[in-house]
Amino acid sequence: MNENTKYTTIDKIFNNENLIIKKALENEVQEDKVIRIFTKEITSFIIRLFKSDTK
Amino acid sequence: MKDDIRNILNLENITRSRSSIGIATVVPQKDSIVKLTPIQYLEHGVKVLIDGKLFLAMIDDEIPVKEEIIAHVSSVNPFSLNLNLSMQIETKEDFIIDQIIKIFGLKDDNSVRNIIFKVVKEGKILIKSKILELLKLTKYIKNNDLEFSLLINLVWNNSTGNNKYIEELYEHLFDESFEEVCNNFYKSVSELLFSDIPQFLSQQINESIIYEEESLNTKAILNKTDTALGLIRLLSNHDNLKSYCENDAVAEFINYGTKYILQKSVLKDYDYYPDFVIVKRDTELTVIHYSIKKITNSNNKSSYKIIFKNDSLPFELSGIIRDNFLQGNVKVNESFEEGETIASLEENLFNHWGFRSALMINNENKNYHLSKINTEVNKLIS
Repeated sequence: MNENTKYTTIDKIFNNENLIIKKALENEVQEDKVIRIFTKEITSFIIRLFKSDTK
Repeated sequence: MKDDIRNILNLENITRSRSSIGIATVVPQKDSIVKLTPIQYLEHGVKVLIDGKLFLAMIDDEIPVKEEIIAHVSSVNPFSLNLNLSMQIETKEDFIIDQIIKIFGLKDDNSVRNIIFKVVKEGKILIKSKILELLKLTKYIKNNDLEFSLLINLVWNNSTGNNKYIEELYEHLFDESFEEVCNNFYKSVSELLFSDIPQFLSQQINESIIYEEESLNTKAILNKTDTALGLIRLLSNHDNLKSYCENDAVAEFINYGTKYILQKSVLKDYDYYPDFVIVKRDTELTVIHYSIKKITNSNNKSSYKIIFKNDSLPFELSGIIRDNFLQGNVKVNESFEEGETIASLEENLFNHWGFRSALMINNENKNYHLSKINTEVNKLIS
C-alpha cells in the first residue's frame, strides 16, 4: 500500500460515520477470563518450547 | 385456538388434494435432504412446504417466510428435521453438497462446492437467498480462514440485498487479513524498537507490547486493544518522530494499530477473538498467532475452539474448551519432547487455574468441532 492510499484509507475509516471506529473505541474488547488464562498459559508454554529448542 | 384448528384442517385438505397419497408415503425418508419453505407463522407452529407439500411444523429459529432452506430428515417417527448439517457433512460431504446444489439449482463447480461446505461447517442454516448473496461476494473470498467465516456471518446477519456495508468493510478494513495486519503491526513495532526514537517511548512500547514472563507484564497479553490505542495516541502526539526512524515506522504503527483495533471489534461481534502476542526468542522478537471462536449454547454456557501457532516453530495447538476442560492436540517436532513436555502445560493449567486438560501429541486425525445444539423442525402434522 503506498503512502497516499494508506492515509486515504485511515481517513475514510475515521471520517465515515457508517463505519465502526466510534463503536470500536466505545466497545472496548473485553475478552472472557477463560480466553485470557489460556492465552497466558499457552504463551508461557511456547516460550518454554523456545528455550528447549535452543538447547 | 379455533383458528389453529381450522388452519390445520385446511392444511390436511390441501395436502390430501395435492398429494392424493397416504401420509406414510408423503413423509420423506430418513437421512434424505429436503427443501423447506416457511409460509406463515401461526400462534402454535408454522405452515411450511416440505418438498412442495404442506405441513404444520414447530421451528426453533425464526426464518423469514418464503425463504427456501435445506433440511436433513433426522427421524421419521416422530418426524423431525435438522437444519444444521455440520455433523452430517463430516461423513457424507459429496452427497450433501450434491443435494444442496440440485435443490437450489446452483452451478456445480469447485468454488460453489467450497462455499457450501464452509457455510455448513459454520453451522449456518442453509438459506438459498443468503447463499446467492454470498456467491455475489466471492471476490472477497481469498482463503478458507477467518475472513471467509466473517463474511458468512455478515451475510447471514445483515438484511438480504444490503451488501454495501459488507463491501465497504472488505474494501477499506479487511483488504488485508487479520493475520497480515498483525504481522505488519508487529513489523512496525520491531522497526520502532530498533530505531532512534527517544528512549522513554521505546521503553513504553517494550513494556506494554512485548510479553516477558519474568516481568509479569500481562498487559502485553490482556487488554491489547487498550494498549495499542494508548501507544497510537502517544506516538501521534510526537510530530517530529519521523526523523528518528527509517521507512516511517510511526505511520506504519498508527496505520496497522488502528486496523488491528477495528478488525478485532468487528470480529468480536461474531464471537471471534483472534489475536497475537509478541515474545522474545533469545535476542529476537517473534509472534505467536492465535484464534479463538466462542460459541454460547442455549443454557448460556460458553465453549471455545482454539488454535495457537508460531511461524518459527513446528508447533500448533488446537482444541476445544468446554466446561473448563481443554481437549486438544499439539503438533510439535519430536525434539521438543526431550525438553519441555506437554504435561507441564497441563499441570500449570490445573495447579494455577483449576482447568483440567487432555492434550494429545501429533494426532493428525483429530478434527475439533464445535457447534450449537441442532436446530430442529419437528411435531409435523401433515
